[in-house]
Amino acid sequence: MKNKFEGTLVLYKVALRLSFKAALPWIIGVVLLAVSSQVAYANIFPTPEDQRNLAMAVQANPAFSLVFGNADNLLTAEGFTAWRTVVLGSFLVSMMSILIVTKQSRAKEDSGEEELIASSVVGRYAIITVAIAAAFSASIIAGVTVAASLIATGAGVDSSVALGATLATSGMVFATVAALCSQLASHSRAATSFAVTFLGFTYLLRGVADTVDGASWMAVLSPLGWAQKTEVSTTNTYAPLFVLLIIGLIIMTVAYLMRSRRDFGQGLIADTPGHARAGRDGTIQGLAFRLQRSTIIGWTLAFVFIGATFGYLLTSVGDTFGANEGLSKFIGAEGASNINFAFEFAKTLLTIIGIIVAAYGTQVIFRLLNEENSHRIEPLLSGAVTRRRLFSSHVIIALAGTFSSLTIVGVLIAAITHINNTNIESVEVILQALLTIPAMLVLVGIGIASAGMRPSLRGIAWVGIAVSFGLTILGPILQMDDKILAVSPFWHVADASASNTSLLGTVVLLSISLCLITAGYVGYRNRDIART
Amino acid sequence: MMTENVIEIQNLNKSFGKFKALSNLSLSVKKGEVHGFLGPNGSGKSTTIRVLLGLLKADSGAINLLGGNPWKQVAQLHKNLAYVPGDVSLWPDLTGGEAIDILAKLRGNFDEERREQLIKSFELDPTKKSRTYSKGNRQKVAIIAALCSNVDLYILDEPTSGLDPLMEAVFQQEILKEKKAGKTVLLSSHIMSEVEALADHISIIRDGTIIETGSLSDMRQQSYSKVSAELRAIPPDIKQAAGVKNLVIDGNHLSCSIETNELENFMKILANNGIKSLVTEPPSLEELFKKKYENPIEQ
Ligand SMILES: Nc1ncnc2c1ncn2[C@@H]1O[C@H](COP(=O)(O)OP(=O)(O)OP(=O)(O)O)[C@@H](O)[C@H]1O
Ligand SMILES: [Mg+2]
Repeated sequence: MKNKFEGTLVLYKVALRLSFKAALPWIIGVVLLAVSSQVAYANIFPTPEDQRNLAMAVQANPAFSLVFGNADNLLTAEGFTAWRTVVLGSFLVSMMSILIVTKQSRAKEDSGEEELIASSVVGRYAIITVAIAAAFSASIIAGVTVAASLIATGAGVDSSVALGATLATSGMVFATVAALCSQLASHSRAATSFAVTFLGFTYLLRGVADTVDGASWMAVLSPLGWAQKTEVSTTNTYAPLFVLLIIGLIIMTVAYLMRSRRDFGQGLIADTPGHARAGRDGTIQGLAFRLQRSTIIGWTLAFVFIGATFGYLLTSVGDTFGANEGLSKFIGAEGASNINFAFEFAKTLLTIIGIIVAAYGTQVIFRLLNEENSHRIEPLLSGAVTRRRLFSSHVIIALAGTFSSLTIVGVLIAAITHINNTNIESVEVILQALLTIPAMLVLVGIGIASAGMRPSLRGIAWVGIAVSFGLTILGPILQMDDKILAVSPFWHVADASASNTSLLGTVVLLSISLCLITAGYVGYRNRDIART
Repeated sequence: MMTENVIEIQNLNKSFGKFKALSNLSLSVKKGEVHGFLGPNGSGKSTTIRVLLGLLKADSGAINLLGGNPWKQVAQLHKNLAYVPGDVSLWPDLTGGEAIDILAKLRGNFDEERREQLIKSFELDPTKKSRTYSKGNRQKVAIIAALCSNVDLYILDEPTSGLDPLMEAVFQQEILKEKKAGKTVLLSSHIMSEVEALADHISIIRDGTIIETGSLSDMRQQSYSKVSAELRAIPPDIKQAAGVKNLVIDGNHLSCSIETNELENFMKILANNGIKSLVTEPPSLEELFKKKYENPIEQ
């Protein structure tokens, strides 16, 4: 038995060093999320009255519950920090965990790198163990760092430790999920997307549980829902974390059992023979489409699902607004009507979706860089294909995919709210979705520009997405200055419900996108094609 | 403008950051020849080829490929050339047959009959997913995709690494066919027997510079043949004979290496001393290249 794990320790040290680099941005992100909340709270909400107003504002806008979960306790800094960090922070740490596990196990197996290692003196379970151990370590480091930095800023020890433990546990559970997916899938890309899809689904599941009346039972189906049950800063209960750890242990056992049954480099689902001829794929566009096919299908299904969910959400929220007039008056400064609140909410949802769509577009365009790193671009360019044509083949998919996704979501939300007789104007919702496109396009444009000019700087595209998300969802509640909020392209999106909307922002966004895309094309024409 | 040389590189320089991969490299490949491109690992063969393919931008130097500029006239020039990399990576989800079609169709001049014939000769199963191919089979996909295109120039970068000896023989046959048809081939390879069998002309690169270029027979002249003979008597002045190296005498038996262009004279000396038995080994380029790889600036 022991020799099945032989070599684990040696490999673990290497993996830890390699994973640390990958983990760092995620850890920094979570620490920033937690510490900024803790520090900002005292400055922005100094008096009990400010704090009560905050609590009301948060309760009034279901978008907050959707993203962060319900707020138990906004009257203390710790409570505020916990509310902002538990769900979103768990999501970030889990994402990190998944990427580490698939990178340390399947990705290496596919590239043949691991074969060198596997053929030397290591046991069958060494590689999966190392991957899980690296992700566990990174999750624990993330949790400890968050707890320590919160305590350093003067936060209560009990809730800081509980928060750190919650984050670490979430990360560990999803590490085991990723390990299981790595055994099922036939290659690393599929393994990552299985695990990430599962994470996204569980996130949405608890979002629905937190926002839709009578759906709160759904939270038990989601690991992130269990993470919320620790009630950090109010009760600091650890029992849910033990439940999560047991679930993780079970998943892990299944993953090990599968590993012992699986051939090296293969999934449990074997490859079948395919066509002897290429047919339609024999064009550069056809090839790009073929390569992106599963990405396109996966994201489109996700957006149909999200659009439908958000449509129902909006319907149920419309009722809440109607019922609570005092609340409505409170958030809608100057005598705005219920319809406007509902529309305001729809607008926020469309912005969140716009940011997710931008992540989709960025992923599509970065696939081109993956192809380059795998040396699959050279044979194409040594055929009679221009670089412009090759670049276009993926840019077209990124643009068409993102445009259609936002439109689909807009139409779905409009249709569902219409069927349910809410007071929201269908046309305005669809129009609003279309108006969100230029802002989304700026973010995708950053991805296109970096892929074309400097692939080594492609991280900027993800930073842009993260910053837009932070500013959109947190900026207003932290009462940030308009000048800072204006950094997010989504701040400039016109309001389809306003009678005299200025389209200046839209025009500026479109111009910036155009410049970025052009920069991508020029850069791609003029740089070396090599490993990036 | 059409030059006589299909490839003409003058004073090409290329650096990756601080590392100078190619320095003042000059290379010409004539129309209709198979040009062997040899050199130790990391000497810059693949880098040169990538510059020729317009994948890397030269820092300086004049490059003429098929009468055009490889960086600027990519699509137009590439209609007339086909490339096989040494480390073929294919789209994991596509079958070999699909990969061949894509690669060949992108180029244009695509010969259906030749495709079928090559798939048969190389015994490739085109319905398998690329992920499940062995290294040699991935290599075959790239070779077939290149050879089924009707082009003037083949650029092959270690095309047969991973092929078994039978397939290596098929490959050599197919290249000789192309040569007969007047096609030009730039062949980078570490397999000396392959180069000897195919190449007319050879260039040797070391540390990013061409240190030697010449026809295969020129190279042979510089190489040594091995001779082992039993004579009636060993002539005392045999040590002084021109071009002799590593002479070992054991009674009436001698063995030595001899410069190929001195072989004739040496044989006369042996004949004058009554040959009882004689074994000669043909000149080995392998030995010669090993030496060149080690000491480039020896001469
Ligand atoms: N993108 C790159 N960035 C940095 N250095 C590079 C890059 N590509 C190649 N090199 C370096 O340039 C040198 C020449 O590499 P090249 O691939 O041309 O060698 P080669 O002659 O083809 O060797 P081999 O026989 O092993 O294939 C090597 O030292 C290599 O490390
Ligand atoms: Mg090489």
